[in-house]
Amino acid sequence: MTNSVEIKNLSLKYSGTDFKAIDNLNLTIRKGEVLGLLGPNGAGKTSLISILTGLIKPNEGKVIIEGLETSKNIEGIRKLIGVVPQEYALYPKLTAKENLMFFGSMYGVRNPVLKQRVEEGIEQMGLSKFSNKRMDTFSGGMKRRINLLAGVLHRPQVIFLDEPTVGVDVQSKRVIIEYLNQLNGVGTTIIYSSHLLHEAQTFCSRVAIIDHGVIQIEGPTQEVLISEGRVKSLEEIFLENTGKKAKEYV
Amino acid sequence: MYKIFHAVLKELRLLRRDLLGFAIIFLMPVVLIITITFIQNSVENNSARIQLPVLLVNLDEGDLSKKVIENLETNNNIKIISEIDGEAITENSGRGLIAKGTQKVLIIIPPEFSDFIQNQTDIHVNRLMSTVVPDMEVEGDTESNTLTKEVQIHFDPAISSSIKSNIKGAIESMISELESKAIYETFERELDADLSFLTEQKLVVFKEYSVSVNEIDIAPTAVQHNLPAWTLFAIFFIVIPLSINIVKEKNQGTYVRLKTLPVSSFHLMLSKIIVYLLVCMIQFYLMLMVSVFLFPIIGLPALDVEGKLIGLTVVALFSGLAAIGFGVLIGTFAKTHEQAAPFGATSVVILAAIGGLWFPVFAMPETMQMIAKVSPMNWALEGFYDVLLRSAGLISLAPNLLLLLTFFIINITIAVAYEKKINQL
Repeated sequence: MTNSVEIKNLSLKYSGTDFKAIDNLNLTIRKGEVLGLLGPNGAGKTSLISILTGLIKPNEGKVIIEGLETSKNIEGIRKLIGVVPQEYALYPKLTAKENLMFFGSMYGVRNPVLKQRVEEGIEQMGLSKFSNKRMDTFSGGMKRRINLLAGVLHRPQVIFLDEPTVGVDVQSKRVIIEYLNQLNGVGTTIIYSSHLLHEAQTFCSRVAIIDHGVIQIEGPTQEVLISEGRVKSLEEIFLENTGKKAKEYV
Repeated sequence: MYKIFHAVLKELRLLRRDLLGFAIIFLMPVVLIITITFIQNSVENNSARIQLPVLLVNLDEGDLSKKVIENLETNNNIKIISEIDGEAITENSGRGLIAKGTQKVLIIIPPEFSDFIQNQTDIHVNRLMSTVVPDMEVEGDTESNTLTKEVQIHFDPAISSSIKSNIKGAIESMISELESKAIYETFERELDADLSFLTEQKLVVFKEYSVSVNEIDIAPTAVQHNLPAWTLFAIFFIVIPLSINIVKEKNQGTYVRLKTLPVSSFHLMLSKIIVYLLVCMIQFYLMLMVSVFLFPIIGLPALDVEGKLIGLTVVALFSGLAAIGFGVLIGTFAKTHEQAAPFGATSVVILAAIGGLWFPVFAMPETMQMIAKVSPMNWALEGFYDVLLRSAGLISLAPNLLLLLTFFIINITIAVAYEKKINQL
């Protein structure tokens, strides 16, 4: 199995502070893996995803995605990755279809392929009836589903998802996870940050718990769950690795 | 091109969905130009009919002051008032009325004004005669003195300086004419000759011509002066919705996604430039149509655009580019709607003021005239005047168009460079 994402000696310090958001972080994600990036608030998850998606420049280290280094070929990398931000990254005054047609075209997907993918995606998300409704009339769960679709219309090799199921109903959560499983089934690498440990435990093939910008524990999910000779829940593992410090971030 | 097409489509849809904003963008400039032209045209038309009441206190009993009053009464813009409610106006009552602001102008002709003028004239003529004809026996005093008589003009402080100048100028010219007449009459008397031909025949006459590049004589109308100024004002106000659009997008989640797309900031910016330039041109044509077709219907002079449409379109296009460049720059640097909107509005008003949209540049202080020369609104205004009033061709327009284009390029370059810097990986 080849590597999809390689993070080497990565460090990030925001200007004006001595605090290191990312501290000499090393991580390798193989092709087709679903990595759950877990950690308390302020642990460095969003900073790490921002670096990986080209939004922030690190102070040290390098990131290689699908063989391309972010500092040298970010334009090439942008064609290979899909980004699903935590915020609803959609135009409220446009319809679901118009939003998807716009973002798909910005990834260079042309008609009739784009139109077909938009219609199929909307159908898979169970929103066919609402495809011509404006986004500002959608519920939170419906917006989350369209938010996900907007980042994957170009069939990226790597998808970065920042809390993709936060604040949504069970139905929407299930539709989103099923859709992501389907994408992963065709070999798409998924890097997913979340607070929902139960969801991460069942969805991710690999987990990395991050705190203070440092990976505390990382490995295949099933291996990480085995500790001190017994199978623990991801929540227990999470608290063991971040618990004492978690209160600091509340 | 494919990406730009879809980005343009997105911008158009966003604009269309905001119906109120859409209506404001197109209707307000039209309302603006109709209102301003209507007011200005009314003021210009009425200024010929309006009579300024002028209080007059004549303390002289001679003929010359009567002639002054007769002449003032023939002036269509002045209405001489010597008494109010059957009571003659005195120096004190007149001053009181001016001080209260009830009346605007008071003229006081001093006692013995006519005798004074006649005596002074006699002195000057006698002195001259004794110099030219030494053997001639001259009657009367030949010693000149430097005495002057004061005609007082009191103004209400609220009256405009231009009206003050007009009144003072009219009285000075009238008295000067009477002095000349008195001199000629004294000469006639002394020489016992008829010199009336000297006063009856005017040696110099004035006729107004409008000079244009193509030597076509054009009589400028209020609309020709108004349309460029207010059209430009409306075009430059695109700075506000455009900068707000950029700031709003930056503060939405979409900005994060846009920054991760395989599309450059310039391409995204270009889509906004295209759409907002289209808006500017629609605004311009709407105002043009109003000036050509609606104005004659509502009793205003119509704008004559025959043979000028291409020139006007080109100037509007380059003015739109300059305005959009400025709007993009403000939107790029501003972080909040509260920063973009007031700064955009205020800077457009300042640019309009220094660009000569409200006051002619030649009437400004020297420093402001220098500043006006680097104002994009001034380049655009001159471009419009070149086409409308001087019938200039595209080659004559080139310098101003080039300046507007350079302004646009500089703004966009700075905005793109700044965007690149903050997005740099």
